[in-house]
Amino acid sequence: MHIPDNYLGPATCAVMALAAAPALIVSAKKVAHRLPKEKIPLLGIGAAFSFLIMMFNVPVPGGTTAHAVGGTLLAALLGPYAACLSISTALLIQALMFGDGGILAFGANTFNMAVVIPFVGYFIYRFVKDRVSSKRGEYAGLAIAAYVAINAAALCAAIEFGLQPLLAKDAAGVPLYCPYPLAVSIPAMLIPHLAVAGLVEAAFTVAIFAFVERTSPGTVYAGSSVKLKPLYVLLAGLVLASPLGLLAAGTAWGEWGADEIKAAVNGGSALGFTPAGMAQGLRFDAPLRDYAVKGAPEIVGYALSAIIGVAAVIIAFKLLALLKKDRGGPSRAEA
Amino acid sequence: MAVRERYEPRRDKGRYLEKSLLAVLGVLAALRDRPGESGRRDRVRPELKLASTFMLILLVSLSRNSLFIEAAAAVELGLLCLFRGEVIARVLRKVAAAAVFAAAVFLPAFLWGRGGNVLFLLGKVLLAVLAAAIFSAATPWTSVTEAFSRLRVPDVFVMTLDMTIKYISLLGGLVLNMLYALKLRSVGRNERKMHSLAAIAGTLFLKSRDAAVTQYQAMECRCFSGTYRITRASAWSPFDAGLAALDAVLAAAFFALGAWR
Repeated sequence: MHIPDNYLGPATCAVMALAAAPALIVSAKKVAHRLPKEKIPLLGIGAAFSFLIMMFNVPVPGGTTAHAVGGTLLAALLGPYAACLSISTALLIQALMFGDGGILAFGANTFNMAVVIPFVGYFIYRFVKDRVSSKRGEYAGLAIAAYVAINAAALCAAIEFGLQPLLAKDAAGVPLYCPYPLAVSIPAMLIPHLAVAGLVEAAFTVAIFAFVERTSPGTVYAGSSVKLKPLYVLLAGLVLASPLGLLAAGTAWGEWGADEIKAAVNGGSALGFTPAGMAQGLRFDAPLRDYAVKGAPEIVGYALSAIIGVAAVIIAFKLLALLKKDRGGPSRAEA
Repeated sequence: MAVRERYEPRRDKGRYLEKSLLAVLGVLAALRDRPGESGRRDRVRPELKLASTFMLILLVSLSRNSLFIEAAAAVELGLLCLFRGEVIARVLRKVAAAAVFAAAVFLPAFLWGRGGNVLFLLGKVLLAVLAAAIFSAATPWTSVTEAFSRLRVPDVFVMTLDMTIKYISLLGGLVLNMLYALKLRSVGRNERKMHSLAAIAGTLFLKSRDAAVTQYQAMECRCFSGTYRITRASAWSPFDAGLAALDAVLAAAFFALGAWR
């Protein structure tokens, strides 16, 4: 679901950035005022979770791959505002360090994965939770929420892709950016997510939520202690398991590079040309492009990328928590 | 009495006083603002930390292999993210200072078109500084001396290091108080501040001489001849084993990759 650069026209990128910005600003304000200080490290851990979960690619019908996001999980654990911040940070680090998702398309990716998923997921989860009394019912609600939310995000991404042939064409009518119309992009994005990725997201969400609830109740319920150790253990486990994400061969739909799209097969036929906007567009060389290290076996590169990404996310949030402490500290309050 | 009085002291040149105050405070803060102040013992043996840091810096500086450098980066970032935010910020500040300096040194090479190499070298410099900064952030001074003596560094060296650090802190406190006193007494314009500064330096010298004498007497009284004996039991903890295993993996990777070529 990570839209690379040059798939969306500059106008779409700007509109999507404008759409995502208010959500991010409101989230940052809410988190700064409402989230207790001891829960701020959880934001980093949450972002690290999301980062890792997105590394687990699963093969989907049509020969491409898809991945879970963990947005509903974070929204259920930390609230939708904190989840929005966590996931957008994970997306930023993915774009800057690993070239996963574009720089120009960051707004669109943030809107799809960091705004739509947490808020839709959280709304459905609360809706179900308030109406059921059993634990099993709550978990069912969580699974439904995760499933619906990731599909809503996939639909948004598909619409953004599908609008491009209408918005940007050259004189001969050849699309400049994403060449697939809505009739292709919506089924191409939704079928894999409805069939596989949504189920994977739901399974991940419920399994990890149940684990966190059991080992670190303070994360879920106010008043109990927030234990970080089990969460770090879970993170380490996911890091070690991350090379499993390599088992699925192929690139996710809509994430082909400019060199791949010409040969990408869709509905039985290859595209046969590289849209002009893609061939000449922005090319940002991320240091660890595609989670690979030059000269290293894929597994090693993937695992190293997982460690570096997780560490970077956690460090970023620990530094952010520091800013909050400074702002609310007694020295300023007295002055 | 009915006339309102306005007294404004003439502008005083006291910048150097404030600067020296800040400098002394900075050193004292760096010395005191260290882990272990709370009395908590290290979870990892200090000598193992020291040896691992030396090894990491050595391997990173010898390496010409980008894969090894990335592995080292993953290890160091992984360790760094376990610290508290304040410590991370302190470590990163040191690394940033090194980055600026190294970037300035490498800038001509970069402009002459050795871009790739320069970034690689810059990465190596940053990793070496990061390793040292992590060690320093994770180890109190007492443990540093302990690590040196456990690694069979000659006692004279260990004692000198130990005393230097202790006396920088002690004499620093003394200087600080004298500087404060000078500042408080210099109401209005004090033309003779420079003379007082010389007096402070002189007093400091006399005090340090006194301190050396008392230190020697205290050593004699306690039968301490400058030989350090370590009394701490030395059972290996799981954290020690973890760090040792990490070292082994890194060293093995270095040789398996032929990273020095």
